[in-house]
Amino acid sequence: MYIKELIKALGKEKVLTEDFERFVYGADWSPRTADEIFPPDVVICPKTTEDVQKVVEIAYKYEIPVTVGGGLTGMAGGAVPIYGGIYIDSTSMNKIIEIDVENQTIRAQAGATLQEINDSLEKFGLWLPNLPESKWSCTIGSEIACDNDSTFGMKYGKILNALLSVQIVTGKAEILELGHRKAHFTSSGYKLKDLIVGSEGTLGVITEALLKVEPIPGERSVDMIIFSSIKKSVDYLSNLLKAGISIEGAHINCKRRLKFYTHAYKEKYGKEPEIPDWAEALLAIILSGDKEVVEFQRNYAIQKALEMGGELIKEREIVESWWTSKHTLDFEPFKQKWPASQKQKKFGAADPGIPMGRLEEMYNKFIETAKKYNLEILGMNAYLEHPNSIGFSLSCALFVDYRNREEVNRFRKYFEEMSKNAVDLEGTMSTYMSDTNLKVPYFEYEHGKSAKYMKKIKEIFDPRGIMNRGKKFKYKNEG
Amino acid sequence: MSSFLEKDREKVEICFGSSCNFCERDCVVYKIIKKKTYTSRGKNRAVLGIINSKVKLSKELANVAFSCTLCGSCDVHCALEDTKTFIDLRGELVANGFFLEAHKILVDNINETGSAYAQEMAGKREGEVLFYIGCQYGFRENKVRKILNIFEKFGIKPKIEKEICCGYPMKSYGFFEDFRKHKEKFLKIYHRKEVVTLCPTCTTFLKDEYGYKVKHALSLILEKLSEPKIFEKLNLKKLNKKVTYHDPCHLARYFDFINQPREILKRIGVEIVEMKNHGYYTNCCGGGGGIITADAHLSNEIAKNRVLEAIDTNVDTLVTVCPTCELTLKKASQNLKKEGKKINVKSVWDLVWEAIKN
Repeated sequence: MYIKELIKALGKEKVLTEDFERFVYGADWSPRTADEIFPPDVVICPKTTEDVQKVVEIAYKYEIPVTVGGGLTGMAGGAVPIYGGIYIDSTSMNKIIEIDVENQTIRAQAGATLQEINDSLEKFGLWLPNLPESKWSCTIGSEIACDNDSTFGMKYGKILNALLSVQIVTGKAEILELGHRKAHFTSSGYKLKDLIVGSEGTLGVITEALLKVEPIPGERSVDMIIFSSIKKSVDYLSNLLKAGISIEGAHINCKRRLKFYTHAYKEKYGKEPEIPDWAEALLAIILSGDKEVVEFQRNYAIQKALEMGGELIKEREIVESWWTSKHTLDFEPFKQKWPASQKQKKFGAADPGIPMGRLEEMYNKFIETAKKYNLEILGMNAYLEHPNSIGFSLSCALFVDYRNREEVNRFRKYFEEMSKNAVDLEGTMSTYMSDTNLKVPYFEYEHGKSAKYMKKIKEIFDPRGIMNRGKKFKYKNEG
Repeated sequence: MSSFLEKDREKVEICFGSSCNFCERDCVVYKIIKKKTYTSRGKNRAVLGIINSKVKLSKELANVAFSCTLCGSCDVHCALEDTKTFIDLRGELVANGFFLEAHKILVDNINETGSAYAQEMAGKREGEVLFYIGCQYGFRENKVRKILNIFEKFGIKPKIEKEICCGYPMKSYGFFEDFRKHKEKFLKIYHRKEVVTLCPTCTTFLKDEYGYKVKHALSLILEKLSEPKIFEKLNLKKLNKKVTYHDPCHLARYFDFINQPREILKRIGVEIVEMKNHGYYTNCCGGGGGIITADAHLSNEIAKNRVLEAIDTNVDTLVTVCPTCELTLKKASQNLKKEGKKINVKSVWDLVWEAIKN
């Protein structure tokens, strides 16, 4: 009945009902077996905010769940329509609305990918530095909804640092603009815009975003430095910040993790890159700016590393291979990393956040928990994501056999336990995947009394509980 | 249980396991139709659904399957042979009655006349070096005459035998049973296995499907241009032009034939200003995979996007070396001319002829 209303409101072209169409949208990137695909009842491909409003009006009327997705590269099932209903494919709304060069802002529809945004900015010498590896597919809407990470987080922070204003359609089908126009921040009112970051579609559908962009740096250097411990690499970064070095990006790979990121090296040489046995941490450090500034900072950084017992990786192919995986994505034609390395098992990770002094503890907890659930360890990566300060997102990654339901279930148990571990170590259970349905069991554990305030906020924006049902909070009708 | 798709199970399972979406990156169809069903990942998932009996074959699925140019952009950004899976999907659809009428017409033409367009193929010709002209060039008499004249001037004597279509349209449109029979016929005519080709699709198909030793005709030109004092001997002109070059998908991606056309152009005094997507990463011209007959509008839109890329290089000529690319890009450039956006579309053969004619 409601599907007929959707077709009448939007036209058949924007409403997909065939079984294969719904099937395609029934899973994201997260580890699952092929029989854990959740086709929605209908897929909508809107072009405008008004289209989205019409969809939510109908969904509200009939109490139909609404799940929104972008690139569908979410790592924890956030955009999987586990309760069926309506799936909104935001990528069909991908227009660049305005580029304001003087004020260094861009306004785009939520379905524009990060690459599309940067392609449109390039000719003005500007860029949006919030770029994860999934930049070719990840939409700005998803980046906001998941509070996703960036390769360049150590200089530019996460998406909240760039987000000036966001337009949403609430669960009551009301169009709201939340933010402070082109001012970079405000101390007026309550920061409702901030609520949307990491809300993963549970408060409304993001339809447009206004963002602060930056000048494209002239030069960039990428290096890797090995340390005998993870702690030493953290101390080193701390020292560099204290000395006044401006670091564009920093990523601490544990030794095992590097293997996953040097696919291009393996393809070329038929072997793993050789790293000394004593090296427990491999820090990738990215510096950018004018040539002289980069040279000075790089020389200082290398010298400091030597003083602190670190060693520069001289074999540039290792560094280039890592950088290919992380940013340029210029893999050998026909040999791109992901399908080439996921033939038996796929990458599955937890995304905790940990205070800077407890990183090694978390690493040990990660290894212990992985072994407890008998899962093959891929490795840990600490992404520095706070501007000019030490603040990590972690990727605690394993190999998961996606053809084996029992192993996938063990991964989910690992994921839950890592959520608890993170809170126990004075941290947080999520730093870039958001809660999805997988962290729901630990929501109160993470948030304590404030969880009830979050539920009240949810009720204000989405009184009928239709927006991304089952994510963040248990659906009220669940046993 | 599907008969053509079961062998693709491992590939589509890996695609599901990876779900990386790199295939979207340069998909010329997805750029226009922003629905994930049209991406490589989307089609692979549909195949996974068919194999696991969760998805039924349908007319709508056929529309999606045939709205693909089989350009291989997804293959380049992947590690799975996605376009082969899509051809198998077409085979499965056609075997169950979900074929396109417009494609059936071409297949019937091949069955009845030997030519996809029910036209005369290039006529028999005495010579020394066996050439295979194919359907797309076959009925374009003037074009073929120009190309053969070029070879004659270089002292190469092309030989042409009675031709029938290589059969690529049959296989790529999913008419596997028709192709099986046609292949037997073809092998009887071309029992010699070394051939010089003109059409990029025939080039790769004769190599990969038939196992022939294939040389693209431009290789012979490059060999000639590499001979000492050839410019003086043949009074060749240097053209002093700036162009941009469009790599035909099949030549660039599946035959590794990227530098050779560029080298030829360089030697005859033509400077190339590259489009952003070139070489392995060439963007499709909107002509492949039967899309011209499946969805003319989509084909035009894809071609238009490619011509706009060419116009962005600020040269006045877009050059290619594929008869299908030339057709779609020319049409798109004529449409864009009405909007005040101009670029000429020529073939490498046109420029070589300009250099060699006296």
